[in-house]
Amino acid sequence: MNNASHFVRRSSRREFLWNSGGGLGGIALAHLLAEAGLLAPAASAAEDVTPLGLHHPPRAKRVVQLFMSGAASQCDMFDHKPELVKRNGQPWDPGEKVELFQSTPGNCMQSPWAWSQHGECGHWMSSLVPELASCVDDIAFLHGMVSKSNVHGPATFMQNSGFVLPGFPSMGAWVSYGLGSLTENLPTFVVLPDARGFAPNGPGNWSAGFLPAAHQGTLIKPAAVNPIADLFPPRDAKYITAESEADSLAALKALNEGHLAERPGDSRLDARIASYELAAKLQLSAPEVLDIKSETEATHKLYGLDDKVTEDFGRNCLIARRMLERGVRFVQVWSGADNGFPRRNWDSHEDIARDHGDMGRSMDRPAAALIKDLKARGMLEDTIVIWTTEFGRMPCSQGGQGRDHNPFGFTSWLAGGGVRGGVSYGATDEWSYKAVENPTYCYDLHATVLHLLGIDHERLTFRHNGIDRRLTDVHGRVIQDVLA
Amino acid sequence: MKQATIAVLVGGMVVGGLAAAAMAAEPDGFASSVAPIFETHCVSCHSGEHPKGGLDLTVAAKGLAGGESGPLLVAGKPDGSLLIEFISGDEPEMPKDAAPLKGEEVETIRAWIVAGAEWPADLVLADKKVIDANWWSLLPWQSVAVPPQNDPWIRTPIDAFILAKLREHKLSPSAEADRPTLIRRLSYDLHGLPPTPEEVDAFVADTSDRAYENLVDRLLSSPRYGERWARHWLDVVHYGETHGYDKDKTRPNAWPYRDYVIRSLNADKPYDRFVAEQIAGDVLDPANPDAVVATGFIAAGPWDFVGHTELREGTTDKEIARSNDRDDMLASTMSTFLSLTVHCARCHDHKFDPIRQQDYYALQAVFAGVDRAERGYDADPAVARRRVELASEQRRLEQTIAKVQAEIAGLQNAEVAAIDADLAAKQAELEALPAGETSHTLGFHSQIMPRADVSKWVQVDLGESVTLDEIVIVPAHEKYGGHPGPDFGFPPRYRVEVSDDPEFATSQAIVDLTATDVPHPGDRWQRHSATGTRGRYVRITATKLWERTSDWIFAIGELVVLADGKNVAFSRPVTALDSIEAAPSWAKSNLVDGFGSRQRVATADGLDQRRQELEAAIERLQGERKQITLALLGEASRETLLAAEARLPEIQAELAALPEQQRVYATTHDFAPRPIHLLNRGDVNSRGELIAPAGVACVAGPEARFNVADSEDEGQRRAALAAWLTDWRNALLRRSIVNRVWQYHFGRGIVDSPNDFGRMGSLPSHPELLEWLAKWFTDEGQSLKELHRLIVTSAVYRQVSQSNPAFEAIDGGNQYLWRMNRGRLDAESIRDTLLAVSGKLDLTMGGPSVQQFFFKDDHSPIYDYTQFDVDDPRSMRRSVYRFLVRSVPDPLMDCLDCADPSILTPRRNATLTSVQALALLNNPLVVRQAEHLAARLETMHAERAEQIEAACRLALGRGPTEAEAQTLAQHAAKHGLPSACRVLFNSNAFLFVD
Repeated sequence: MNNASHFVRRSSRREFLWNSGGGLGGIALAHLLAEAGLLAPAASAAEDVTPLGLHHPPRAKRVVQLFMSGAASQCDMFDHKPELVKRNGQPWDPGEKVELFQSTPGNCMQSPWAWSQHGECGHWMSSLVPELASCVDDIAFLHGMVSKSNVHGPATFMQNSGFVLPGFPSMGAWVSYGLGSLTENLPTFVVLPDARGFAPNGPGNWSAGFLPAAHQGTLIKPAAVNPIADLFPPRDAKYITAESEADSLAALKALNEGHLAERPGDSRLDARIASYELAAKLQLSAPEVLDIKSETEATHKLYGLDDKVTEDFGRNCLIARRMLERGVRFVQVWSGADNGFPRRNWDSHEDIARDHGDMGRSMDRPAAALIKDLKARGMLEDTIVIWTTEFGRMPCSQGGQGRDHNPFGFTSWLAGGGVRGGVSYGATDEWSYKAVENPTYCYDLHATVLHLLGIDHERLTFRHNGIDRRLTDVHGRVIQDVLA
Repeated sequence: MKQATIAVLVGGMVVGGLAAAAMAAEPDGFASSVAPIFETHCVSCHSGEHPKGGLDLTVAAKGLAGGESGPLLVAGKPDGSLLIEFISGDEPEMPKDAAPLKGEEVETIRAWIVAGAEWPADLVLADKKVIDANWWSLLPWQSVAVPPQNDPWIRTPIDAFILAKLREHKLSPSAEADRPTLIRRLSYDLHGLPPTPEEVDAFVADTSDRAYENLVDRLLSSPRYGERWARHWLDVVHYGETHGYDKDKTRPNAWPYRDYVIRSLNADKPYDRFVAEQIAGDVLDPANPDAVVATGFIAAGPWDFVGHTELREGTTDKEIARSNDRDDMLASTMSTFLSLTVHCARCHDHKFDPIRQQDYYALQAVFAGVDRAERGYDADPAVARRRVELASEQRRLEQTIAKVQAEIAGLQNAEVAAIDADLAAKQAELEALPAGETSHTLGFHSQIMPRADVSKWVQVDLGESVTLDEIVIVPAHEKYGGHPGPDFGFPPRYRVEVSDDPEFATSQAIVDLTATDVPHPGDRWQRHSATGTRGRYVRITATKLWERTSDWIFAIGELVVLADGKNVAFSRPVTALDSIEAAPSWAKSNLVDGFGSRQRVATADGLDQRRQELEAAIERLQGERKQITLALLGEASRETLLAAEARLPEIQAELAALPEQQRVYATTHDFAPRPIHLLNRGDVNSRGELIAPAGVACVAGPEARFNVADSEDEGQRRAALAAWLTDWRNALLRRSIVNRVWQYHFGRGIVDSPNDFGRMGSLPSHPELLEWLAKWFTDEGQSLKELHRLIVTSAVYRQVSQSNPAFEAIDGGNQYLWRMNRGRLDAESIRDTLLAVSGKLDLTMGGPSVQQFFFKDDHSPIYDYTQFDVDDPRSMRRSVYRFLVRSVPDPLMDCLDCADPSILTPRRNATLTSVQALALLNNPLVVRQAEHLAARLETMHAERAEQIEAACRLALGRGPTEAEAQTLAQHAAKHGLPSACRVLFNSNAFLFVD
């Protein structure tokens, strides 16, 4: 290969990466490839170049986010308040007017689950989450989370995109835009919804917003015939066979190359030819990554696949680990579907013991398994695990057994790459009602995660409708206290 | 760097020269000399939650402490002070991205430091950055002459502007494209559909001098034009047919607005009228159905259903939801019509453009009297006019009545005084009643039926045979859901029976209302006397069900059975023919739980009835008072009142008898405009001054202050905005629209940021051309069709799209248009072309949108595209008629960069991804159209070669090249014609337009 064609190949590759998504990562990657004179497939090259980070050296290169939809209760799992136990059943008076979503405040209500200390750090955990309790030394708890909305839809948007409105890119889309792909074989940002359906806002939660569509989360339904939309032809299309498929792609390539030859200098035409090659790779890789039969029995057990209660969420967590292993940059796993009856998410207005009981048991083992499994494989050190929810629940009762929404104080947690385990940052008052120490918005959590990925959250921007938009809007501080 | 040119600062605010330096040295000179410099140049960045560099210059304590680089200054020693170091020198570091401070300003600060840097502790500095209004887009009309270019290439004045720029950059135009290329380009551009082979042949064979112009005329006069360009407009205004957010409920009546846009474009409605109707058509022309439907624009965007319907009045979250809603309305209005980013001034003055926070809230005030909602309209203008007349007479009568009643209120005698005293006491008692217990339970709800004439029953088991006194039925009241309102599910015909037999083989009737429909009870309890009747079971049988929306149900809030003053039904077992068990809202057991819908109505101890008794007593007393005072009233007033009271029901009856209105999702304004305050930092809990509705002051031309006579009449506010926007002096309105139209023709606007003509937007590549076009457009009657005609008949539009390495090196992005831009087909054009080519396209226009998905209405509705049969006739309509779901977009359209209706989309991306490749290969719609095309080809021709030829002519607008013909024929021979058609649909020749 002479120098001229060498150059053409590289520059068109750069344009190709831009065309096929228009992300900074694509540009950065192509640029680095060109500089290094690499012509090797990007998958192997990517491993070499991405540790440079976008703005500074990263501590982690991939993310798995577990999203508890419906608002998971901090004071029934992670945020222990002896005062609540002591005053159980007594009138609750936090000394100010309390504005709740549905109800007027009821009496103090202790958690139906007992509390005990765990790990070297001695963090208190409720008996609803015994498996996560065994991981506390790897976890940094953010006990002072606050939200700007008390309504599921806007608050769920906020935890994902930093805005209470629809139409903004979610964190996974921003990471895809900023860092690009680690593999050509699988999507960069993948979403595994709860088996029972979508959370409030539906796919809006993993939207690319105004970023190019390539950065939106790719929805994976492991149990469906086509786990990714249109991955394979419909079954009733008898005229498409394995052989016709191969010949079709060859014929298509011939047509497109003929077309291109008469229209030199338009990199989009090249990009489109390449997009079919990538599509073919995805067709090969996706079934493999979703096939969990090859995992050991011990792994199946670890994730709770042997138990009806944990099976669905466990399968998604295991698939998340397989995706991360194969180069997916950002995986979002949902626990909880929409707000309906009977309850199929964490929105336990009526009965905490019953509904959080179900949700907690289905989540605990798989979430803990993910941490343990990543750790055992040496992946936890450069994988960030985020556990989050749209807001928390009140320490007082609603109707005697349930809890209403609490945007004033709740818990999220982080583990893995660059995160200091066994610490707590921020705190609520004696009731677990209001964040009083280091109130933390999603902006700070997002800034911290981006920081760990080598991104300065103030410099990852995209101009839309006159504003340089950021994941963190005009806010956000990296939470130094939870960095290792 | 663009940023370096941003802040052109006005120095007039600062006391000038050495005098200021002298003042700064005075003991309290800081406030008058140094503070204004800080406020104008520094505080904008050095303030707030995260001040730049950690330096906060708003108060002495923080300012003097300095930031990350160290203390601000050393008093008395300017040369050792960081502040002086940062603001002086050849290229001062501060102010960042702005002109340096003037010499005398630096001297003033220096003198202040020398004098000891006194900074009063209680002084708070505010951001007073002044931004120059001298910006191209905000200027009044500029006079522009067509460049004196003399060249045979020139066909229109546009070409003269383009050629001048090309020559300036040592470029020259490309050759004219051939006719097959031109007709394909024009057809997609103006119709979003491919030309038929016959149309291509006719155009190629047309020897007339006006062949091209005739083609343009034909395309512009076809209704396909309105469908195509309406889609562009719907992108810009973020039109969608569900609310978005959580519980993404449908808007079944949003479509009339979409049809309005299509009709308006096809009718070539003058642009200013098109704009004014969308803002205030219902006010400006209330009897014109089109004008009312036009206001669907205001409601086009997303809406927080839970925030608006479920949150309680007065809560912070409700305020936020409303503020966000107005924000969407004004951002949409200003972005769409003026390409201004006013929404950036919500939390602070605009950082780059001369838009103040006051301007922002003045626009919130324009929309302070509207909420998004369905409203009725009369498709028949005669009916619309009659309705307006009747409504206005009704209003007059109501005012008359109110006036006389005010007179009555002042009348007194002993009898009246006694009633007033009693009334006051009862009202006081009513107000003092506790709010009452609430619950989430709504009542009993039957299964849903497809028709009304079905009998359904529900019954309670009292446990033993009891002698009854009274049976009370409390209607259900649905508050949220799809059908909020009183008497939800209350049957128009029913009977109540008592029996000792649970099967009711024999029974005693308490009441039988099955012969004719009973009136809607509203929230009134239906009390049926049962004196002396004895039995163990009480059953209500509905013989005619209540209509929801084309389906029928039976629901009741509470059943109370009184015996000896006790409620013997309380908490007893309930059975029913069928029911929907959706706890906590609906359950059989909710029929006897003591709560109607959410409100406590009874306990085991009987009715919770004091409130009811008081309300009834007050109503009765008011009636008595009226009878007495009427006699005391003067003859004339009494006559007036009685006449008005007699006439009112007639009017109401005539109104009720008018043909049923059609519905459109637009606005409601049945409340007084809400007061709008300036919100500090955009925080609803931090209210500043009250703001009146107005336009944006920095836009040259019409007066931005509105002259609104009646501040309670919200319609006047919108009418004033419409007048301000469309005033002929408002050049910005026309610059914005001609740029949009240009963009859709060329793939890129003269200004590349179509929604932002401010300092953060792009500069025009051809500023004189833009101004000339805007002026021409205004002078020629604001006809969009004439604008299209002017543009597409230009020489620049007719060029080939072929590249050229020499020019590529000068202008690789082709911003000077030395060739035409090649474009990728947009999502709708791809989908419509597949159907057109396969022969399946259904060109029916208008009407309710087609739902191309499986839909299940639920607490949160379910939309599933994979469960939809692509051979369903609904698939065959043009894509502009698709039902647009915000939360769950159609995966095929989505990966082809279809606009997301949650955001304003002034320009779509055109990505080329592997997910897109998979969709074009495997999406069932594409796969099926390949089969349909193959079948069509087989009916057209017997020979394979002819079939391939026809396939290319249909799909690509031209016959195949030799290589293409060979490749496709070989493939078809081996794998069949459908497979070859599928390959063709995936080809670049199909997807791109030269």
